[in-house]
Amino acid sequence: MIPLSTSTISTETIMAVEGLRKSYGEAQILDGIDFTVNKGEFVCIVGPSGSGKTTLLRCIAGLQAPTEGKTMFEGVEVTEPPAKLAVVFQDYSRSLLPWMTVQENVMLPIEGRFPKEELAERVKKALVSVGLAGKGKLYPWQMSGGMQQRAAIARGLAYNPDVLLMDEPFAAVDAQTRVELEDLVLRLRDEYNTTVLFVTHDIDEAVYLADRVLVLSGAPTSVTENIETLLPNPRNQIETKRLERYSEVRARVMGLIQAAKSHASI
Amino acid sequence: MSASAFGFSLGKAVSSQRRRARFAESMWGLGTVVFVLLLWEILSRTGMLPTIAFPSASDVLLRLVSLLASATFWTAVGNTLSAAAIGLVIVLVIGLPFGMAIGRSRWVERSTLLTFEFLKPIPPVALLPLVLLFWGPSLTMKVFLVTMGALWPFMVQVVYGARELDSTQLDLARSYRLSRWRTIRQIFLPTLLPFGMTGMRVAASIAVIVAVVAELIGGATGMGQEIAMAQNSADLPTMYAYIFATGLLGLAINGVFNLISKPLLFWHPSQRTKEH
Amino acid sequence: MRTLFKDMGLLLWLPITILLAWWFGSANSTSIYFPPLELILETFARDWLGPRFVTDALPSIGKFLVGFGIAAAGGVFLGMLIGLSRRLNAALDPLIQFLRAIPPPAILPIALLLFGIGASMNIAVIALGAIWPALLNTIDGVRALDLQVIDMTKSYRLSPAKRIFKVLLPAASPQIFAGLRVTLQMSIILIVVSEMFASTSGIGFYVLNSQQLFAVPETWAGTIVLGLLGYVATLVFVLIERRVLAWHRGMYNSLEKA
Repeated sequence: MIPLSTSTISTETIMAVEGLRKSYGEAQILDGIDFTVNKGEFVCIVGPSGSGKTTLLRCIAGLQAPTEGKTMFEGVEVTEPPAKLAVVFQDYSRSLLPWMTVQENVMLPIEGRFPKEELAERVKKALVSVGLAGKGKLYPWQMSGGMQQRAAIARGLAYNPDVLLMDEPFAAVDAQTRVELEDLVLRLRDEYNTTVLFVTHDIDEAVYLADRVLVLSGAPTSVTENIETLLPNPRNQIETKRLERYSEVRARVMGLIQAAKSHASI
Repeated sequence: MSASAFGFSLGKAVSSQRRRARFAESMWGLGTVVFVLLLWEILSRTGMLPTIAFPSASDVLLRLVSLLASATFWTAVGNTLSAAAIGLVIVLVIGLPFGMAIGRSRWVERSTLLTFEFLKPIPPVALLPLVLLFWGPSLTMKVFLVTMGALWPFMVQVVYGARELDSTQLDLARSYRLSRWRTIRQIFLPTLLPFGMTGMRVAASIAVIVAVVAELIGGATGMGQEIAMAQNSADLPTMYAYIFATGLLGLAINGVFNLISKPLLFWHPSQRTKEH
Repeated sequence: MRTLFKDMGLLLWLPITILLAWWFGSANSTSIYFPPLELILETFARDWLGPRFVTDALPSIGKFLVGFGIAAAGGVFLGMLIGLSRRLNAALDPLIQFLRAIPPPAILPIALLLFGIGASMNIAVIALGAIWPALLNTIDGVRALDLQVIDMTKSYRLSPAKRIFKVLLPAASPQIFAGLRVTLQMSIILIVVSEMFASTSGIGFYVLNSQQLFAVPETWAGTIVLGLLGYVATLVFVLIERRVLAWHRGMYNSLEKA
């Protein structure tokens, strides 16, 4: 028996997406999405480009109302962005505000909610966790892409969420930085004991990170498969990727994605 | 459903939706204009607006219509426009070579920097008394003032344009041994054109403003003088009608610029409409 | 060091040449239109470095600042309201386009009828005539806010005050400042023109009055004062803009390098 995870995945559901549909006029983007996320779980949603991943994410995050169906977050239906959910956006150069220093960016969502000392403490802790200790006074545009995304993650962490929702967060960074950031997210998930829902188009990334991979079909989108990776934790970029189980899951996801693509382009 | 059919139907649905939205928006705009005119009419008829300052909307609009049929009106428009136009031609003739020289040569740029940076923020109307002293309320006076006001905004844009001419493009021209004429026509002009158009647009609106001031205060003939004359004879509907007419003139000039920038700058990012 | 001197020479030779040419060229001038520069400067010192500065220049400057302040604050405030509401923008756009197409000095007679001669008339003309560039640029700046930034403010549940003062206004600030700069230029034009049009004091009145009295050196001196006013106001504005938009220049430069 392979240990499922060193962190505690309970069977308690934290998020449930039920029959989510979204259409614009006659065009249907999401066609009945159903899945649940358990507390402490790391779930990756992977799908071919143009499969409405961003629409799905915006519906789940309460940024957009679905046409039909609903998302339950901690037992409450999502009608506006939930307080215990933090989103890390795809394009860090746009979601970090260039007129504020990194520190101010991280502080922005929680400013006024805590006394000054606690605020400073939280910001500092988040910056240290993502490896940006001492960089708080820099402006985002004075840093590399990888560092900017670290700052965006720190902002999410300081918000102290139960669920971290990440929308293709590493799509714009180079391959080496991406590897570092993947391991960073895995470490942070254990450190902060958060649930992570991670959207990506990269199959390797999805399999390497996830406890469970949800594979999306092409548009109109639905969930075609729900695969438990059953890979041992902690993950390791070399050891994990050498495992037979890794290749197996990877091949299976790859096959599903290709089927989805060819189905879509008939 | 196939991806292409999907993309097509999405595009169609969105575009027809958008057309409908745009139509609704223009209706809202029209509604506001009608509403404001009606409100104005009611308030002035019921005496809630001070009659000393406000004629009724209908009086103003009727006067504007009758003015549109009068020769005096078009002479005034012609006088204002010709002063602005002559001034703009002079601005073009002076601004283009100077702007190019400043943008391309460091020597010229540094030499003229302090002088121009001092002259630029001086309000053109400050010169009105002086030029009145020299030329009286004449066309020359107006044209000089217009030129002084419109030169800087145009020249600033030409300087930006000239700096934009990057050395890669010039190297390209040299390596393909393009003739001087073709280099100018195919590389210089297309690069300068968007900047020149922006500059001219700003210059044109300033030219009309300065011309109206020269007429209103300096007493040269044109729409500004008609406004002043109507004011002196307490003919409020005519005064308002001329003020409205200057606004319509401004809109017309803007419209002309929109019309000519489309075919001239079709390749420029500012003109591209996104395909969805 | 040598290059510094060379650059200073390059910067200064033209202004110095012009001033020297003016000084010596007009020294023995008997033309009534071009009095000697020396006489102009003497008149300038006598009139404007003396009590007239307090009685005429300061009130003009004060009215200009109040008018510009109202136009700027009003333009930004209304621009935010209109820019945030798609419907309001659609409803008001044609009206705004028309009003801003009217050359601002053309409304002088209306303001005179409403307010009579006095400071409130000068201020009203500036407030009404110079508001448009600030208003339109604020509308554009607010409407251009990035969708991802909007998503961010929503998903992190920022309070309305934070959304406006920490996100919306700074995001639109480069465009707002571009508009404010034009509003400033228009305010200067309008204070001068409105004092020329109907006033019994102020710099604009002084210059036009001295021209009508054929007091030529006074006309020149007053023109210099108006020029200096425009120059100093723009200079102060640019300094403030540089400070407020320092982040924008920094970002722009870092993108240029990349």
